[in-house]
Amino acid sequence: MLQDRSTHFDDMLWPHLRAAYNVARWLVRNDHDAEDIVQESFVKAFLALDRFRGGDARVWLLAIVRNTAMTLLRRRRSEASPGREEAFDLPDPAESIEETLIGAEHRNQVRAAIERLPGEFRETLILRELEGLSYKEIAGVLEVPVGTVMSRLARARNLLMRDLMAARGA
Amino acid sequence: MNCSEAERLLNPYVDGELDLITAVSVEEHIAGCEGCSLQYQNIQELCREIAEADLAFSPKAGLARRVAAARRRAIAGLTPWWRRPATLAMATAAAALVLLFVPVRLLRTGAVEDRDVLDNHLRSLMASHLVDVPSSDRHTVKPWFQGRLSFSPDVPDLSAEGFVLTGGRLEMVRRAPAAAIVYQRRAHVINLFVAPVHEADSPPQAQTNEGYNVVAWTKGGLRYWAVSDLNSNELMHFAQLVRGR
Repeated sequence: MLQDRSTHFDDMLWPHLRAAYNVARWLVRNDHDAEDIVQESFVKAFLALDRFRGGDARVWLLAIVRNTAMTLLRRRRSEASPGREEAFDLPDPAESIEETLIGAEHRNQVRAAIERLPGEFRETLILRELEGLSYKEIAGVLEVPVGTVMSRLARARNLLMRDLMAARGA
Repeated sequence: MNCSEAERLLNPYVDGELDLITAVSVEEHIAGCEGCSLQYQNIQELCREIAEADLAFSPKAGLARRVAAARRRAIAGLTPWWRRPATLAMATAAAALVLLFVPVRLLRTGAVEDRDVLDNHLRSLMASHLVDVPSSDRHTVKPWFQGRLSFSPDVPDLSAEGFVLTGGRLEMVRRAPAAAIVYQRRAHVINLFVAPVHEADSPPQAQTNEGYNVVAWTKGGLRYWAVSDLNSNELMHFAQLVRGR
């Protein structure tokens, strides 16, 4: 049974290591916590494999990643270090100076604007834009109705547009 | 479709989440509505920018190792102690010792050396370690022993008599290295053990131990034990063939 579990683990979860890391990374906005979350999530997934009832292993894994990240963020917040969650890594300013291309500056603006999005909008947007999940899959990860995914995604994009326009002085 | 309906559907439209009928209605509305058309283009443009921004982070190389190690720890934690590999190996070894030595020691009636050869025979059958040098060619097996043993056992070819050479391996008999030459007759394995002794020659003597037949003799400073589950007549025939060479 343990052998089966290990094989399943390798087949179903291992290919999504990168996706798991990226979702965690965008949720907690730093590498160190993201790695911790990925490690914890994979162990949780491994231990819970027999409860996995088929379907998309990636959605299942990302839901675990997301819950693990939420737990960490909540704990951080209750540890009463105000603004800690907001202390995200901004793009390295040196990059912006050296990169003379407007395109590069735009890319940094987009990334920074996404990092500034409130968590619920950020996670929805990342699952859609980076992981390419469908609304239904996102709903599965976030454990919310599809309608909520739709409205959060619309709200996330509106916020981004406003933020980018402000940043570009338009 | 009015503007507020269309606006609600613009994002799912861009994401390809609408059914065909609804998608067509949205398209029709956009075609005739400047405000919604502009909003549609803005969303498209934003999505293009996001795609170009390359949101992907690359995990450090160590992450996969870290996760793999955590998984191993999880496996160890899941496995009851009596099923962990180390325990299992020890238990198997202990069981093998009990199986090999205790019954033989309790029930055996023969000489001390017979215990060694019978143990060796049983172990060779159990441990899927019948031969170190698998070969049906006596010119391969005989030289293999040279350099590994202080004596050079003869490896007779008895295939014409129906005893097929399978190979050879090293064994311990009386706490000294010995040759084990393996023959097969039909489905029966014969281990022929050869070890140097300081004894006068003696003719083959048969005995039965644990349902196995042992035929032992001494010739030219070497002691021979043929051990098999082959019937005693055929095993004696085998012994005489070997002794006659």
